[in-house]
Amino acid sequence: MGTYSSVSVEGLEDLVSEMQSALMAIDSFTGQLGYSSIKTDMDDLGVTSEAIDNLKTIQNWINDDELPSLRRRLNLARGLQQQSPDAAFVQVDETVVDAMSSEEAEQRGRELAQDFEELGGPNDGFDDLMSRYEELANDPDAMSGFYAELGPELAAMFAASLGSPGSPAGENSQRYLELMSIGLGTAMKDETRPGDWYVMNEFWEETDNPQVAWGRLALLEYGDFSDSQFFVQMAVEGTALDSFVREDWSDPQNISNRNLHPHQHQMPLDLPSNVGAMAFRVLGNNPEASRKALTGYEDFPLSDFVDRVYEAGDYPHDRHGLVDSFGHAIEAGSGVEGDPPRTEHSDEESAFAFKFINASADHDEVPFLIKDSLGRLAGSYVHEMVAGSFVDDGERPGFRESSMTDAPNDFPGGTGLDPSFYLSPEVTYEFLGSFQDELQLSQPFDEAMGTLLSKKLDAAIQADKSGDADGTHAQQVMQLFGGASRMHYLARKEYAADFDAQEEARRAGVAQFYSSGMAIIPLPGWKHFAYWGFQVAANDKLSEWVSGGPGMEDQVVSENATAESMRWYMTVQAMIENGVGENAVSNAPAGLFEDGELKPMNEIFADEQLSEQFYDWVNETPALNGPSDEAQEGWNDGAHGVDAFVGAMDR
Amino acid sequence: MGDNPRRKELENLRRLVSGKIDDLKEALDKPQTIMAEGDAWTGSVADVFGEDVDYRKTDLRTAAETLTDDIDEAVSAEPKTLPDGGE
Repeated sequence: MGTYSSVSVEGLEDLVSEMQSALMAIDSFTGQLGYSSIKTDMDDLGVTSEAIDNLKTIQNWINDDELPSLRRRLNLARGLQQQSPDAAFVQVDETVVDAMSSEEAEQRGRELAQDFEELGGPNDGFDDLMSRYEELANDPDAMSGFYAELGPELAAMFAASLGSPGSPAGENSQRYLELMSIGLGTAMKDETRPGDWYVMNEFWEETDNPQVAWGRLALLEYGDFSDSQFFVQMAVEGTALDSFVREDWSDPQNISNRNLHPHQHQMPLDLPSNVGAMAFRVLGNNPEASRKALTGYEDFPLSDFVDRVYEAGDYPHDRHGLVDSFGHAIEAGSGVEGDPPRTEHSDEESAFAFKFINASADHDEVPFLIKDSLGRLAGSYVHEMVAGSFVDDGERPGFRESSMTDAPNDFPGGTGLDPSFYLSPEVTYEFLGSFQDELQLSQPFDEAMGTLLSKKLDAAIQADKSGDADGTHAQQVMQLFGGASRMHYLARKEYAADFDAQEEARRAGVAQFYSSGMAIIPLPGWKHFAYWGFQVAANDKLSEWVSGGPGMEDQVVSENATAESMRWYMTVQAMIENGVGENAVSNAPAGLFEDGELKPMNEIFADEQLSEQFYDWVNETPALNGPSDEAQEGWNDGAHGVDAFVGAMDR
Repeated sequence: MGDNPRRKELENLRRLVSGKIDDLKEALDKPQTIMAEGDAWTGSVADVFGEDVDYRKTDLRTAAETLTDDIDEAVSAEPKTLPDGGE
């Protein structure tokens, strides 16, 4: 049974840093490290004190006894953290700390590297070497020694050999490459990397050898390089992007255009064969490196990357893998992560997303393989998409540009929306349109819209109820979402590959939503149905709108319900759920409420008498009547404003 | 009578030490706080280290005070002035 310590990497980093400071403070008196000191001055004056010897004892305790084991413990903790990135504490085996000093671990790594070198490739005997490697893969001292000894070129060549068809490592190729990459990430975590580590910076230099280029990038594929973003950025730039930004980017000899192997499907790994695609893929796992690499070229801004990648994805280049990987790099840089994607972002993420969205919206044709990323980006930046759909009264196309800072004139302030930038309506329209080919591509955005609408409408109703401001929050929210919903609808109509087929699918969804009696309660997988329910554009009877859709035979949609009435019901229901008009509930006609809950809309609208009673009751309840009418007006105003704006756009 | 240059140099040394002595005394305060809070590293080995830091911190303060006293003593032992012609 070993003795285990609980270690917080961050906490131990602080401790090591403070112990280092203490060491230097003491040394300014003792001068043991060779710097000028109080002791030197005392010696000059012939002053003696036994305190100096006592200080030396404490200094030696820090320097010789504690700091080496603290650093070793910190390194091991960093390696373990790689395996459990979200854990606040990792469990470090103290027997390992005692068993092997940093120097001994480094030496073991070096000896292993020498054996790799001797073997020359993943040949016979490689399994044994990888077994030894695996034991050390989470030990930063050992791994930094390993890579410093093996050197950058041989490391890359080993990785490339594992990726090549016919790799002697066979079915272990994928696992071995992952381990080698994880080990490189571990090496980067070494608190005190050896002096000859600098040779690894050769990863930053241009190479004309596609195996070396591919191998370097493969080694950056699986490890945790979160603390080494500069190294990743420089490696990706030097290995591939510096060549990709050149005029000869499409030349078969341009390194970013080279492949590890001409037939990717024959490779034993689940990685692209193309060096450029590998470069973007690495950036897809490294957010800061992605932002810095894609916005750091003075004469080649992010918009140029977008132009070039979109061109590369088109005939005759057809570099679809490059497009796909680029989308992941954009997602990473923009902070699009999680399911659903998070909607709060750092300033750097927002600024990057702003540049990309504007650049991408400039393209009428967008390569298909980036569209899933665009849908997720729109879902992540749903606040900004809604804000970007806002059209001021009388505003015409071309009046304003997108802005990182300036809200448009008369932008409603009481909606609780928190956009980090304001896109122009034209850019919003084009960007939304760019991923509407299939409903599935837009699903992250549709779900985000459903969630945000529900959340903001609830909050606005509460704000109005508490008498905050002039009681127009709900109306403002509905105006914004009415505009955004219409903008999305029109973009879909313009860009959907098969608009009629999409409408059929949406009809089925809305009918299901309606018939299930659900309110705008966001349930996993259902959020977009609520949004669709609000979004129904046709003002026909729902029964007519729905009819003709596949599988509609069993759906019961009342003759009495229109899109408008469904939206009105959902708004009123949201108000009731938030306690608006609660005093009137006890006076409501019998049958309208059940167990204190408003009956589902399908039941109300299916019963003509109940439907009429519901309408009358709301109209006789001032707390509900005025606000619900105003909310509807807000929605319609927003939608009409967008209709007029998009109609006037020169497309 | 003239100023004693050695006394001046000793006073300079005392000023120099006085400016740095608090940093010396407090050099292990932060490590001690980190260990006491238990947010960085816990376990039996950490407990031993935490106790060591406590002892060393006390030793450090004692040494700092001894040093200050010894230098004060050296200053006091040196006359402020020297007879004319003396060095």
